[in-house]
Amino acid sequence: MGSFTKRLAAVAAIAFAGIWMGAAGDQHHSHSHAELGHQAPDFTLTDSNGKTHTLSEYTKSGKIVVLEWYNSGCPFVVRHHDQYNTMDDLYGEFSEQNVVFLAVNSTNENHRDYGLDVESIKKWSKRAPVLMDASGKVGAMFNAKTTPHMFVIDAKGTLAYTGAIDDDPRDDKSAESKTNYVRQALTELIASESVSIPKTKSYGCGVKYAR
Amino acid sequence: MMRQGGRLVHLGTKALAVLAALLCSGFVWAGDVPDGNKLVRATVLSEYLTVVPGQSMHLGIRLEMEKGWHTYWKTSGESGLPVRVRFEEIEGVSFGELRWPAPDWHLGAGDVLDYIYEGTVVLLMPVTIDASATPGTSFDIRCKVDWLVCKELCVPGSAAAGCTIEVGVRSEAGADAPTIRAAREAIPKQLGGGSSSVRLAWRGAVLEVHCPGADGITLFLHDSEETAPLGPPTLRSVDGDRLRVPFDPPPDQYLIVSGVITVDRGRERASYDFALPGPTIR
Repeated sequence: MGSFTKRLAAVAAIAFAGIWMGAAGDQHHSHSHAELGHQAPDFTLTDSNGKTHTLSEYTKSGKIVVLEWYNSGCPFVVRHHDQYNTMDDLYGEFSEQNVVFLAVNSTNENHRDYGLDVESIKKWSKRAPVLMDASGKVGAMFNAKTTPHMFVIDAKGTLAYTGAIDDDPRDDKSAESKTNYVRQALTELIASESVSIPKTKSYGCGVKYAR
Repeated sequence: MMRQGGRLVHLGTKALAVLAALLCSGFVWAGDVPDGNKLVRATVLSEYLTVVPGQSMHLGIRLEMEKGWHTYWKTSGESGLPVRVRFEEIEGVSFGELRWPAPDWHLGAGDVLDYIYEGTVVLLMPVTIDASATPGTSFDIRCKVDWLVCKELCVPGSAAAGCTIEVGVRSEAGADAPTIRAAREAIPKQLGGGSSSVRLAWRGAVLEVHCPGADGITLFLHDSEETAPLGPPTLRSVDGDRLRVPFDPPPDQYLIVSGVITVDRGRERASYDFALPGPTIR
């Protein structure tokens, strides 16, 4: 009996936490936290050129959106922008096919990696804009843990993929033998298929959130 | 995929050189980036200097991290990359599976949960010398260790390390034998079914851990693609002998939830390996 009450309390606490987080996040969506197969939480952020981007405006106009958590001071991000051209290659391949690429930087203002966006975009000729999220609010909504951490939102606004950019965290595999999960998800979505691998474990540096 | 597509032959080394140059030069604009190779010192310790043919023992891979920096357990948690140790194959020596002591819990800003090592850690590699080894000969054992080392930023690093083991007619322990013994003590014990100090049970989708009389319990879970605990706070109890970890989605009975549990009693910390099938949910 006692244990049942405790269990009930635990369930209630979790449910309450869910509702509370929901209220704190975004008022327009039932899911304020990104959840696979559900409507992605909406956000508006400004990029390093001062342009604002609203997720729902892209998806309302039928775009697929790729979010890439970004911090150019992280060696894993360096790997995919400099050692390889993983991110910009995807941009080149899919931006003409109704796919919008947005990088999001949730590095806090006091971190040594803060404020490197403009220079890194130039250095790497990065075509996707870098959205500034120094408060970490959008990072928390998507539960972004690493840089990079990838999210694909389909044209209906549903979160269709979350996880790693590829299956090669240690950079051991040849270009031919690695699977780029985002390329795979985009190819499937464009072919009106469901995403065969919707979730993987992202790898990289921890996002440098504000404390 | 590669920026300089086509010239694949040179790309591996070239890319490495470029990355190394970038990391070591002025690429990161906000000050100097430390050399990841120098933030961790890796050495191989041998339990015995001289072994007899057929003998089994442990080698220790000791990692000494610079103050404030950390490396990662075999399951890194939500970010980072596990330390990797690769021994060169050598005829006459067989290597077992690397053994890891329980890590430390590192909950970063934004609830990024990592399983880390700080200070000094000794990983253990079980080795067996072939029974046909000849006394008077020796084995030159080499390994490559690589890591991601992080503080407020992360840098990769690696080292080559090794040791020499003599084969004799009588085994002789080395100066590092006590360190290896202590490292062996620190390896998590296998949790038996009838353990009275740690009790694990499913209540629906909630994993209940009960360690009677414990001051604190921490669960370090291995990755699972099928299920996950509901947030880091559920994985640690610092002031009680019970832990309740709700999983979502509920693991089924065909799924094994596994990891390490550490149990604090006063200043003592014990650690246990566990692997538990999911509950049967009707």
